[in-house]
Amino acid sequence: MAQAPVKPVVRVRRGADGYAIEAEMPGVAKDGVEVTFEDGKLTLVGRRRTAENAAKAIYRESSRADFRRVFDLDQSVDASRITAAVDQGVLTVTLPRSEASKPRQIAVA
Amino acid sequence: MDVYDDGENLVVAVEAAGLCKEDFKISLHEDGLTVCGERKAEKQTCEGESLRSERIFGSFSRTVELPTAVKADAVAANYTDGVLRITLPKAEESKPRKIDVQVS
Repeated sequence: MAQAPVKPVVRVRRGADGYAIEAEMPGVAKDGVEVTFEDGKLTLVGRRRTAENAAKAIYRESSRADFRRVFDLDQSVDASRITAAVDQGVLTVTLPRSEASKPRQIAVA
Repeated sequence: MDVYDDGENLVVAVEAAGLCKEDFKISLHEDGLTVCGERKAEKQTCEGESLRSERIFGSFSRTVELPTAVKADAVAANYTDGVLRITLPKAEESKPRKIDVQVS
């Protein structure tokens, strides 16, 4: 019976150029990561490698559940330029602001 | 921390995403195995304000008692996908041993 997914812990930062989300998903390799964007929602999924069955667990704290977290993005994000990378279990998603949403100086005639 | 026994080795797995392999200190002593680590807050390209900060930075230390004796000079460690995996080969006297039954 599969367990319900757990939420990875995240850090969300906002700079002048856009947002960056870091999600901790230990035990998830690059091929287990899925980042999708639809209808203004960003979904991060991390699937753990199947456990080694040969070994007998003497003491187990870790969860076998996969990771999943959904974020509502605001209008300023340019969805076509979202990028993602994984390093040592940390998924970093960079969400640039669209040019149109950046602050603009308006000249006074 | 998880502790497994695969017959030949004890395997200790520590989930710690976002560290570098140099950030770990592993030591074996009579009370067991101690793993120290530090998650350093790296400089990011996207500087700015933190809107939500759930990640924990800084040092941690955990000690776990080992259920059987191990060969201290043959311990190996590997850090992949944010999991530190330490393999400790069991000492000969700890391995399962077949005992022949003599019939007199």
